[in-house]
Amino acid sequence: MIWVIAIPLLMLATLLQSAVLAQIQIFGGSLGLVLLMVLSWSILRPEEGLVWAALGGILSDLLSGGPFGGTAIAFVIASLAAGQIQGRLWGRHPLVIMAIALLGTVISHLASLALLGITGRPVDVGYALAYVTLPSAFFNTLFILPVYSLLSQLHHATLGKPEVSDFED
Amino acid sequence: MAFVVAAIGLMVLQRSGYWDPLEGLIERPLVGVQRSISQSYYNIHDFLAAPRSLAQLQGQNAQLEAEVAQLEAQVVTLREQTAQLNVLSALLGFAREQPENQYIAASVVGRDTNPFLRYLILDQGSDSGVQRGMPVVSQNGLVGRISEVTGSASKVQLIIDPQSSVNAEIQGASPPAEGIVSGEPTGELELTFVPQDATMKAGDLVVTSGLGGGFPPDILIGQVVSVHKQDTELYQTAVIQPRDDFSTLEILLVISNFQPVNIQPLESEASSP
Repeated sequence: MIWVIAIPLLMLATLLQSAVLAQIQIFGGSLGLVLLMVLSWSILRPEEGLVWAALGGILSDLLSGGPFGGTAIAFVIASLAAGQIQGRLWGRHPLVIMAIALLGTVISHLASLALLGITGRPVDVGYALAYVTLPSAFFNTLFILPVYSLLSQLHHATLGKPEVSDFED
Repeated sequence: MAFVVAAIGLMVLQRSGYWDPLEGLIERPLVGVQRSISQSYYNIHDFLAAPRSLAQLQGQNAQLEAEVAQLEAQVVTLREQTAQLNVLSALLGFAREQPENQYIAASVVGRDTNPFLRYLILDQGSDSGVQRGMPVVSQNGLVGRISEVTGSASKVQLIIDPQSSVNAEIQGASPPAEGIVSGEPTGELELTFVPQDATMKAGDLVVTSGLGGGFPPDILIGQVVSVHKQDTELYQTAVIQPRDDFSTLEILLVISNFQPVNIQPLESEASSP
């Protein structure tokens, strides 16, 4: 069942990311729809979050000139971190979800930069964090709630109510 | 009998013309009353008929709104087509100016999903003759080179990608000066390894030199914006402003008759003891 939901959704999100969202840059940052979907599903079903992360990352890598698998690794790390944060904080409170988007973006970008550096690409970490990661994290924090809400409704419609009710304190 | 006599009398009066003033006196108030009755009737009629007219108006309004929306969509499409035509016309002009090259036109269908990399995805691949290493240009000059190819698509590494480097020369420099244009993580273009004795100033055009075999010569890369020269350093550097805004590229040309020269074996031989 996970594949039936994950593959078409992540494919659509990846295409949207490449064809539309990558073009819309505000202050150097852009919305990371695939990452937001991965993080949202990691909150809804932590055990499947890693599968979504790997799948979303590989699909993103297909439309990237970077090292293949790099985005997948970055997303998996972000998904693991999301699971850890959610487990230690107050369930699915909106603030927790927003914090997960913020930290997930920073973690995935840091992992991506590290992988680019390891593979011999020139990286300016200070510039990247200030002018790409920070605005992207802002947008992702802003937009994770609608993405999470949509995926939560999809989860409810296809797989039943999540184990912990949405936006629970 | 009296009524008959009165009627005959009235007829005689009318015939003789004496009745008209009297008729006017009687009719004037009647017409006033008639007018007000008639007006009231029309008002009532209009009021009763209004819902039907309102429905008609609403229908007409909806129809007109639909037509306006359709026309607006046509205007948008025509504007888009005009813009594309302008780009194609400029590309055609560029291709005519350099008749020694053969081109494959391709549309930009996507951009790199990694925010730290600068690649484009084109809708033409090996099925159309696109090969790895082929230079990609716009009407304004060099854009990048093909880095990956599939049957129906290809990826272009833009010249502003941090891993991109292009051998370049400064037009009009005396003595002739060459350097390497490379992309910066900040998205800027930098010209490096320019000898100290070269005269270089803001506004100079920078073109491909053809050295290294990676790109054909004399393709415009950009314009010098600022020069950084220090006597303590071996080379001078410059910031280059490309003519293109790489975020708005839509249609590009792949130079298909240029085969990049692979000099890596020569480099490895030279570096081996």
